[in-house]
Amino acid sequence: MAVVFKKMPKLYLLIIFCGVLFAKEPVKYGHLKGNVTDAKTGLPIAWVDIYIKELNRSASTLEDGRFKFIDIPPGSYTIDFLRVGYSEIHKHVKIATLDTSLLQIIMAQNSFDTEAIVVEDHREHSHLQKPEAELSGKDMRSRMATTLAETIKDMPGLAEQNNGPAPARPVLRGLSGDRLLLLENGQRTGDLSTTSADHAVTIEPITAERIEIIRGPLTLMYGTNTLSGVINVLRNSDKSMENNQIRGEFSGGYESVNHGYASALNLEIPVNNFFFYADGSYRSASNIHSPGGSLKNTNLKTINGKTELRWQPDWGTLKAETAIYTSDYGIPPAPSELGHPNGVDIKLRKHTYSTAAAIKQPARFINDITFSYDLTDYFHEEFASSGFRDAAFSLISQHLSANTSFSNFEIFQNIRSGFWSGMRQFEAGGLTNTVNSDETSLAGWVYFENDFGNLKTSSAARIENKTITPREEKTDLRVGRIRERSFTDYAAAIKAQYGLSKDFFFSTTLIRAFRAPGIEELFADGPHLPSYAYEVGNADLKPERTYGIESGIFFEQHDLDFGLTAYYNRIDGYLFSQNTGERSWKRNDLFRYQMVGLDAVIRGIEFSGNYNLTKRLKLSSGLSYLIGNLKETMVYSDPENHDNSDFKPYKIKTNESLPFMPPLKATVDLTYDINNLSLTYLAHIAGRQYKPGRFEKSTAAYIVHGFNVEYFIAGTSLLHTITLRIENLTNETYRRHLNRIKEIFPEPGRNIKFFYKLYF
Amino acid sequence: MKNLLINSIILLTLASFLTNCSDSSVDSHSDHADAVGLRIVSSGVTIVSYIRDSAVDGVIEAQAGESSGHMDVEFYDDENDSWFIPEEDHFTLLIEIGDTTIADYWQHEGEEGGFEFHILGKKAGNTQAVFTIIHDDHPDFVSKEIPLIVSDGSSI
Repeated sequence: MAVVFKKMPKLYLLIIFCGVLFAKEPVKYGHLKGNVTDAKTGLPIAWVDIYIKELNRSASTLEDGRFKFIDIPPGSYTIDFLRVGYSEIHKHVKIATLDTSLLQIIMAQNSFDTEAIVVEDHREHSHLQKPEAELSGKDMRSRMATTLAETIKDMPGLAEQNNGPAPARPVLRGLSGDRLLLLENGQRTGDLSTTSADHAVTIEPITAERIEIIRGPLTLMYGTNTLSGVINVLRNSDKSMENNQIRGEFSGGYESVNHGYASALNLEIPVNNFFFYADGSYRSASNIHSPGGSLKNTNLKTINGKTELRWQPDWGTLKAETAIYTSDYGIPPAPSELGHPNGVDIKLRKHTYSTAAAIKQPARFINDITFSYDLTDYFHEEFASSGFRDAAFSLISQHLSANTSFSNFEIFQNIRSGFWSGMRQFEAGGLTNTVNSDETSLAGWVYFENDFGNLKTSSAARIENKTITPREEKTDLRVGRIRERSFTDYAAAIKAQYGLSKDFFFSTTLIRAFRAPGIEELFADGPHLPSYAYEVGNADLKPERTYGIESGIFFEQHDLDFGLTAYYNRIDGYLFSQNTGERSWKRNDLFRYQMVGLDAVIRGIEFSGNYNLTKRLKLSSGLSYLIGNLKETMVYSDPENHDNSDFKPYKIKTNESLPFMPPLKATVDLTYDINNLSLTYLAHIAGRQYKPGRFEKSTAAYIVHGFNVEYFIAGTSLLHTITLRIENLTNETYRRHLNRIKEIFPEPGRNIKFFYKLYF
Repeated sequence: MKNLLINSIILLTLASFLTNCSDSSVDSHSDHADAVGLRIVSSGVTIVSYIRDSAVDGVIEAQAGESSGHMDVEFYDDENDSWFIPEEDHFTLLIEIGDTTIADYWQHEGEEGGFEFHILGKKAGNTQAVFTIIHDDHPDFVSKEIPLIVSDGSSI
C-alpha cells in the first residue's frame, strides 16, 4: 500500500507532463447569453443595447429581456448595457472555449439614483446538467446559519441531523452519512463527518458563494454512493480575471439565540494572467437558548481560511491551493444516564493542499482535460468534561483525478470521462479499539448526453474498487475476523427528459448505486461517548446496492414554476449502526450499537413552486414527505430470558421504520419587494413523525413563523446588503425528529439574526 | 508575479510534506482493561458472577447493622479466557451503591481503590451495586447492576 502512496504524486506529474506535450491551440469559440430585468419590478426589459467593446459587436434584448452572442473568441471582454431611463452597466466577462457564459443583469431606473447591480454570472450548464436546486445570492444571505446543514435545511427534500449545534449534517431524502456526498469546489472534504453524528462537517457556510444540489447521472462523476445526491459548495468558483480589478466581499453576522457572531473577508486579485484569491472567517458562539433554558456545552469556535494562486495562460490553467479549518465545539450532555453527564469537548483541525491543471484542446477531439491532486490532514480529539481524552481520530486522505471533456460525436454530446483514485490512512486512539487501517480506491467513469428533439437523455456509469487493509489482523468476538476487505462494483444511471411543450416537461431517472462499507463500519469497537453509544463494527459486512427510480413533472414560466417528483429506492443491505437495545459487555452504562446491513425501502414525494401573485408579491412553497422502512431486522436477545449468553442474533422480516427519518415538511414563503427592500414572511411546518424507528420516540407536529427583511444599497463600485431575520417568531417550543438530543432539549427559541455583506 | 507563483508552489509542496510529518498523535490503544464479565469471591467461594450477556448469577448479601466478610472482585478477559485482577498501579475500583441508606461499602485503610471490599448493611432492603474499573481517570469497564440484599439481623 505504501508503494501506491509514494507513486501517486509521480503518476500525477507524469499525466500533467504528457498533457502539456499534447497541448495545441486551435481557436474554439464560446458564447454569451442572458437576460436583463428591471430592479424595481423584476420584469424583463426589451430593447436594451448591448455592446462588446473589444469586438465592436452589438445586440439588443428581445421583448422577454433575453439576448445572445454566438461565436465569441475566448478572452476577457467589457460589455455595456444601455437603455434610456436606466443607469448604464459595464460588465466584464470571460468567454471560455466551447462554453456558454450566462449573464443575469438587473438594471435600475435612473430615478432611483443608484447604479445598477449585476447579480450573478456563471457558466451555463446544459439543461440536463443543471443542479436540482441551488442556493446563492439573496436566498443564501437570508438563510446563512452556523453550519452548512442549517443553512440549507429548508430546501426541498433536505433536513438537518444534529447532535448539538456544531455537528450538523444535511439529510437529503432521508439519506445522509456516506450516501450524501459533500464537496467543496468539487473536492471531497476529507473529514470524518460521515462516520458519527458528533463529527462536524468541515465546511464553513459564510465563505460559500453558492451551494448546488446535484442528482442523477451527473453524480457518478463524484462517486458510486451518491444515491440521494451530491451537495457541492462553491467557494471561489471560476472567478474571472476581469480587467485586473481587485474585488472582494466582507460579511458579518450576529444571532441572539447563542450570542453568536461570525465574520469573513475574501479578496480576488487578478494581475495579467495570474489570479490570487484569499479568504478567512471566524465564528464564535456561546451556549444555545431555547424556551426551556440554556443547553450547556453547545458553544463553538471556528477558524477557516483559504488561499489560491492561479496562472491562466491561453492554453489552460494551473493552480495551487491551501486551506485550513479548525473548530472547537461542545457536545451537550447525554439524554439520560449514558456515558457523559456533562458533555464532551471536541477539538478538530484540518489542513488541505491541492493543485490542479487544466489544458484546453490537447487534441482535436478533446475539449479540455483537467488533473487534480489534493491532500487533507484531518485530526480531532474528544475530551470528557474531566479533561480526559476519550478518543482521537486521524485521517490523511489523498485524491488524484483526471477528467476529460470530449467533442460531440455522432449523437453523443457533452461527453466526459474520468479517472479517480483515493487513499485514506485512518488511525484511532483513546478508548476506542478500532483497528488502524488504510483504504485505497480506484474508479473510472463516463458521462454523456443525447438529444432526440423533445427527448433528451443523460447517462453515466462508474466502476470502483475499494480495498481496506487493517494494520493488524485478528479475530474479535464482537467485530468478527478483522482482515483485508476488497469491494469492486459499478453504478449506473440514466435520466430522460421529455418536453411535453415549451414550458412543461416530464423527467425520469433510473439509478443503480453501490456503497462499500467504510473502515469504521467494518472495524469499529469501543465507546463513543459523544454519540452516546458503544459502537461495534462488522468485519463481514457486504456492500450496499441500491436500485432507484424517480419521476417528475416540471413547469417553468415567468410567473409560475413548479416541480413535483416521486421516488422509490430499494436498498439491499442498507448499512447502519443499529441500536441493539442491549448494554455493552464492557460498558454497561452504554447501549451497544451494532453495524448491520439490512434490506430497506425509502419512498417519497417532493414539491416546490413559485408563483408571482402580483408584480411585487411572490409566493414560494415546498413540501417533502417520505417513508423509510426496513424489510428485515435483527433480534439481539430473548426478552423472555434473562440469560442470553448462548443467544445468536438472527434476522426476521419486518416493516419497522428506519431510524432518523424526517417527517412531512412544508415551507411557505411570501415575499413583497419594494424598490431595494424585500420583506418575507416564512412559515415552516413539520408533521408528526408517527413512524419512529426502533427505540425512537414519536415527535409532535409544529409550525414556526419567521420574518426576513433584506435591504440593499448599490453604488458605482460597492453593493451593501443588510439582512434582518427573525426565526421562531412566537418563541414556540418544538422538537425536530432528527435532533439526537431532542428528548432533553427543544429547538432554539426566538432568534434575531443580523447579516451584513459588502461586495466591492 | 511568476516568481511569486513559483515560490508559492514550492511552499505548498513543502507544506504538504510537513503535513505528513505532523505530530498529531492518536496514541492508539494503550493498555486498557479488557473485561467483559465480573465475579465476586468471598472466602474462596464465588457468590456473584456473569460473563457478557449472561444473567447475573448470585447476590451480595449483608445484615443490617453489620459488616460483611471480605470480598474480592475479579474480571473476565474474553481474549485470554481467564479471570484477572487489574494492576493497582493504573487501575482502581469504583463501587456505586444504588441506595446508600440500605447499604454502603468500605475498604481497609491503605486499600482504598483496591479490588476488595466489605459491605456495611444499614437497614433491611434491596438495592444494587455497580463495579467500575477506573483506568487512570476514565472507566474501562462498567458492570451490570449486581443485586445487593440487606437482611434484618433478627430474621437470620
